[in-house]
Amino acid sequence: MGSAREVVRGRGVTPGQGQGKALVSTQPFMFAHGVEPQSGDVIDMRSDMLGENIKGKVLIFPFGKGSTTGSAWFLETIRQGNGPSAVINVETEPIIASAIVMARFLYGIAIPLVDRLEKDITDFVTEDATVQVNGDTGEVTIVS
Amino acid sequence: MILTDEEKACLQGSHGEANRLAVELLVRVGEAFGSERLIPITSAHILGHYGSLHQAGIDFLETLAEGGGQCRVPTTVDPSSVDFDRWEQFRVPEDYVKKQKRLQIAIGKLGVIPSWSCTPYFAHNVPRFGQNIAWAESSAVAYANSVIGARTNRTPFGLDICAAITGKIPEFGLYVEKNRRGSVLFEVELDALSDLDYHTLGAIVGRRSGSRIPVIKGIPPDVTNDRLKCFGAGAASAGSVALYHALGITPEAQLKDPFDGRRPEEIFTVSRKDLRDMEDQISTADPDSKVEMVTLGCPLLSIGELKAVFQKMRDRRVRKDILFWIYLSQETYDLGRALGLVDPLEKAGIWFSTQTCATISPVKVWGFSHVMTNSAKCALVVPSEHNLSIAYRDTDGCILTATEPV
Repeated sequence: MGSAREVVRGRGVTPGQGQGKALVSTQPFMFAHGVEPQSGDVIDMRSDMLGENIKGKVLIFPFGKGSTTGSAWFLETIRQGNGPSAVINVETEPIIASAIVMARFLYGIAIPLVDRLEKDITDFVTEDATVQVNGDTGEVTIVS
Repeated sequence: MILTDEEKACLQGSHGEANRLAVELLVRVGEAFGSERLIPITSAHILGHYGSLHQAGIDFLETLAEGGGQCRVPTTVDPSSVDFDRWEQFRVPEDYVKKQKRLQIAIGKLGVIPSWSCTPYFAHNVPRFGQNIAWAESSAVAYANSVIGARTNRTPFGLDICAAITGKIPEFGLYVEKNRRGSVLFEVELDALSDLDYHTLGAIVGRRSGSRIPVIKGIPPDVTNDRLKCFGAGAASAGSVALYHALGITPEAQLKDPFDGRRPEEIFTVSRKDLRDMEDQISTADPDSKVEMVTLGCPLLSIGELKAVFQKMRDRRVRKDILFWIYLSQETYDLGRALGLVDPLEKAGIWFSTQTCATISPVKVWGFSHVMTNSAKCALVVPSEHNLSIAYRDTDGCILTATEPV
């Protein structure tokens, strides 16, 4: 197991290192009215992650959707200490990227964001796998 | 990204802390989207409501204000989470109002025009065809891109004010000509579309398009701006439509083939049954349950829409067991008052509210469980957060539910 660490390359959008259990959605994800900042709970009734909690997780979803206020909801979630340890997208978008950049400015919290992986991540990452994300190099490592 | 000398100097802090922060955010986001440069904008429209911005939004705007940030282009602001003049009447907790007032102060220091309206294209911030602008507020983005032919992405909170302060935005997405091509076609073969139908049609187009650019055939040439406002709001909230082309109506579709010679990826026909089915989907309410509040004005009610309400309200008054709330901009309210529309409606029991709207208010404090609206956007945005059941009816249906003959 330990020796069979799989490394997949993507594009590092924001710098930093993060590790955590994978939380995977195959649907576009929204933070505005979708995540409760004071808990990190997913509250979007249409999401396949409804009832899950994003705190400390490696949050994996194809791309963001919904209101342009999403960056503020995400930023507030991070401010309250309930943000993910890393984010992996198929193709990221400005709502997600802006929130992460602002979080580093305001609160000194660096969350690596990686997208455009060379393989479809949902093929090889199962829920609860431990994943390491390096936003500087764009490398994603499946630890276990 | 290739930066100008001035932009490089900004990054070194030569123009103060706010400019340094703003340029860095623009560059970081621009790099993520493969932009080669920052381009000048002529206008910005930012978000400023506490309900979504939270403490983090206060932190960001106050940091920019304290860092000497000043808007370099005309910049308006979306509605607030509270009506600054009527929050006591609407029972908004004082702590909540204080948070919104901190945002108000920061926004004032930054030099934003305090319009508190989601329809800046009707007043104070009207872009021209082909201009690059940086707007937040999805319904306004849809209107500016589509009806006016200005160019903006759905600018998220944070990026919006940084664009306003620097007068710049990274060039990507809808700022690039080739990304404005239509990709899916909607054929609307219906006559006599009602006001409600435009909201519903928007929701259908939004849901089926997702993030693709729709082209709509069959909207009549005499469609009003109010109806396009409602259509775009529905499309932007049911999907993430930032730009649509309506054949014979929107300017880019008049200048050239919006598909640019390509075939549509998909073609949808919209029938009367599709409209009825979507109305049923938008309405989550049990038809027998009792409506506690009826609301109009999402997007904010225009003067034309206010006149229509006035005419339908003749010899009627709001029922004692129901609340009837209408949201409009301060100017529309003042104009309505000057025209003699507002006072009789207030006497009939309607509560007007300016500077805010239902979808971004602290809805939970009212404890409603069943609300009626004539807006697809309002219906689609509110329930997921507040567990409300929503009845979706046309303006006549809303008025008949909320009122009784005098």
